[in-house]
Amino acid sequence: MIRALYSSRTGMIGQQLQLDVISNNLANVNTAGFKKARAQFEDLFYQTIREVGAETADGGQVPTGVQVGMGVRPTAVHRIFTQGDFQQTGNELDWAIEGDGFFQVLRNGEEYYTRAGNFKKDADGYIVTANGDRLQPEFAIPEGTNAISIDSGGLLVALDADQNSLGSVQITLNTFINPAGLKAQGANLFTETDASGEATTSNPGTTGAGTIAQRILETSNVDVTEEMVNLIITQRAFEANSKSVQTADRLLEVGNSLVR
Amino acid sequence: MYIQNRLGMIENVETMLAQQGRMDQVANNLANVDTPGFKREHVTFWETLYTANDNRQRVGKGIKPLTDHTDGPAKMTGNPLDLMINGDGFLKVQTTDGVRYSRAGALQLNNQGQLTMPDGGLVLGDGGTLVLSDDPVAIGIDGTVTQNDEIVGTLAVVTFQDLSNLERDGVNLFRLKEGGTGEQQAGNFEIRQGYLEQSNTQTIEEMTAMLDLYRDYESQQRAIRSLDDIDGMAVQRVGKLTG
Repeated sequence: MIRALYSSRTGMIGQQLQLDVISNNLANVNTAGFKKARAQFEDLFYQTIREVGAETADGGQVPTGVQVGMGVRPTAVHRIFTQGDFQQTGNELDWAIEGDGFFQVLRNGEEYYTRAGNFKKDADGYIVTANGDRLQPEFAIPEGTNAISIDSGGLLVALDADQNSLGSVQITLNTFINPAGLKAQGANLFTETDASGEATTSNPGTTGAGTIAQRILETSNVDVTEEMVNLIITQRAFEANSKSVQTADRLLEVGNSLVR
Repeated sequence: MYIQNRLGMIENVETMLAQQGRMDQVANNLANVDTPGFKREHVTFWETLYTANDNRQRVGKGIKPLTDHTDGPAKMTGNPLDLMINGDGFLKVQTTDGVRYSRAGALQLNNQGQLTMPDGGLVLGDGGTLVLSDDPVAIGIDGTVTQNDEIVGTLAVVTFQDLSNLERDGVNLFRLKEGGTGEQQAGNFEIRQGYLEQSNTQTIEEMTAMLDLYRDYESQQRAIRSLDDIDGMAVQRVGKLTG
């Protein structure tokens, strides 16, 4: 019975984690390039218990062995990299990736990856994320640039007022064999891990990296309805587990009251 | 009289222990209400003839745990590596401890591109592990894995003549009992990509089970008390000539 108490405790802890994940998804419903997360569970190990003296009259064993489970544990908080919706912004430094690729940015000399294409220009003219991390390959927008154009293949051209090219750069995208294994670092950034594999850098439009669409932002892929449904399930599951705590407690109470 | 009282108490205690075991099971079912591919456990109770000693046998309560292998509800996730087996069958998984079976289709890729369970067990296809590239993957209802119009392999989906040959291994896996056989190719199934099979725990059923076992437990406790009262009376009245 103490087992029942511990099993339901693992259940309640699991549902709390689920709630944390759902809350974070909902908090980021308007974050550009945000990818929703999902908590994943698996059953814990099973204890095999044999009843004492369980020998039947005909010499057989009854019961042959009882397996009792020890509850649940979260295996992973898994990111789901489905495409978010596209939002037209009209801003020439808003780029959406249609496909599985990531932009690479450099922060304190380390490589980070992002799907948030809401870039800005910093004081030196470099293309940076909202937090000031430079997009790779680095490119400083030349003085006198009137317009920036980037085609679906990632070729960025800075144009002056007369539509003459002042400079250009090929923007690359990075893909991973297992994007779900990327480590979220906050600020819309991810880093590669052993699980994600190393980044493969390629030009947009080739090998599944996807293409770039200018003046469009990829919105968060959080589906509010789905999260609401998950919220209801989580709440009820938590409640159900609390009921098993209650029942186990009542059984203990009845057992204890045997002695008056 | 004395012996019979004791025997009655033993039977009551046995029933209480069995109900405690049932409570552990209910708690585990409810803890796993959100675990993909989880199959709920329940029990049957039976009366069985125990050998108490060389001269005596008695009837006692045995419990037999059963796994309910009915399909859980489908949940749409949209994740290309979430698979649901609609119908009979299990995915075959190679772990470091040997071959295991699972219906939890929340799969991942490891850094070598092999299709794995979240815990790292390798999902087996018809020709060993399945190695994917980072291109979009399509999985047909018969388990054929396709990338860029090329067939990578077919998921091994197997079933057993007698599902009671399987026992739980934890981490969403089942294993074959010692000496168990009967693995065969599953026929009656469809693989659904982008869906997950949810736990088949039904909270209402578990709540009812809890009510039931609580009341049974309580009445056994009352019975033990009554027997104790009889003992008490016997003790008090020993040696008295009149009531």
